[in-house]
Amino acid sequence: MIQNIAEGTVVLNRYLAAVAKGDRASFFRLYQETSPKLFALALRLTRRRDKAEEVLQDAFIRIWTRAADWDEARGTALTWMASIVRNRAIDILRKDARAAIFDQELARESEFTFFVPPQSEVSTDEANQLRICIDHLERNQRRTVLLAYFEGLTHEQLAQRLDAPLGTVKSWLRRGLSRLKQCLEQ
Amino acid sequence: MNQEEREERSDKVIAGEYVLRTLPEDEREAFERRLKIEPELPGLVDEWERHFARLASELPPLQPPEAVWRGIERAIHARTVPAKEAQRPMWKNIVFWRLSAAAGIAAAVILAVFAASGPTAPTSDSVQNLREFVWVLTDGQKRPNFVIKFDQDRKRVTVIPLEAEAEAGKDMQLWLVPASGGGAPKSLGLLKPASVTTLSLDEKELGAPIDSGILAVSVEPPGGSTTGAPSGPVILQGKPTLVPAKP
Repeated sequence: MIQNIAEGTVVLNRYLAAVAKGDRASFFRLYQETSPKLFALALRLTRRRDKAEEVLQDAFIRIWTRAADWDEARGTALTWMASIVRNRAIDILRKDARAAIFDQELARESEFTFFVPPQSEVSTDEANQLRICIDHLERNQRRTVLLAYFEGLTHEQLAQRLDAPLGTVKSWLRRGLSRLKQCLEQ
Repeated sequence: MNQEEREERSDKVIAGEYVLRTLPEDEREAFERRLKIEPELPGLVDEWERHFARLASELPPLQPPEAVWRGIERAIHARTVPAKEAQRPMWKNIVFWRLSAAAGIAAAVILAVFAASGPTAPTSDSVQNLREFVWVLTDGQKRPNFVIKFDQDRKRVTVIPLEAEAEAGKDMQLWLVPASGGGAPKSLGLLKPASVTTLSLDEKELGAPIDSGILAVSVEPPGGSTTGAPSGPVILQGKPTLVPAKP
């Protein structure tokens, strides 16, 4: 595993650029380097191993076929890939109505796990800044933003989960995003 | 609107909600239209993607099972290696097609399918069928790509691929388009271009008699349409043909 984020970004970007040209060896290395992080994200969103595996597989097939669409100027390889994984997970969550009716045990568990994941050893200054800004949000704003990101919930699902009126939840989410942006731009 | 409300509806916030995928469908579509024409918007989206990806990368890494990579490899391989001519069944044979041209393509396909043995052969419990419907799904050039048979008794649809080929990174999804007044297209499932597929189907659950409508195939993202309706181009379609019950 690459430990240094800045160096890692350059390497991953290079792999993805090679994948866009059909280089299978680079694709395998890209998979080796990124799949543990992306699998963690898929599992966080779907909360089911089988679904997370399906998401990861679909996402990497998409990464292989769509690599030429990646534009380095718009974001790093990892950012682009994380977005594909998350979008695929949400597609599956929203398509599979049964998956949306989550199991009671998972619902209870998620009450405790929606906070920001523990600080990783490879955090960068930017990641620390994000953490500080998230910590500065009011509690309900923070919960709403993090639930929306890590569980892919819609406004209605957020309202249900947080047991609050729809308008209130939308406001928490929007103010949370607005404050987060202001803080990150400082 | 006060200051706070203005902030809540700023482009920065809408871009954030767009990335989170919390925008309702109509607002999402409106924002996507703006994204194409307002040059400052894509940058806002990219910034949010970057921030949120950073959040994701702090999750403790977790090794996926090896089967995932094998599945990816298989899928990629399947998309780049063409089917071997020798493995093709009779109805894919070019000589057969030349011979059948005069007989009319749909009729020829139906004959070929009925002549074929294997997973589509009738068994004793389907002998009582009073009727059987067959659809030949053709593309823009009238080439038959799939033959679909509906077995009413056993509540299933058998899909036989002919010349079908999936677009790389896409799935093909089968839809029933009910006759006029019958409502929106209903998904019957995803098609495999390389093998005979059986889809279970209950007309009661579907809410429409299958023989009342056209069957169509659309190109969809892997896993199928996420909207509940065809979201990609419709590439194949066919009308139902009633064929006599088998003796």
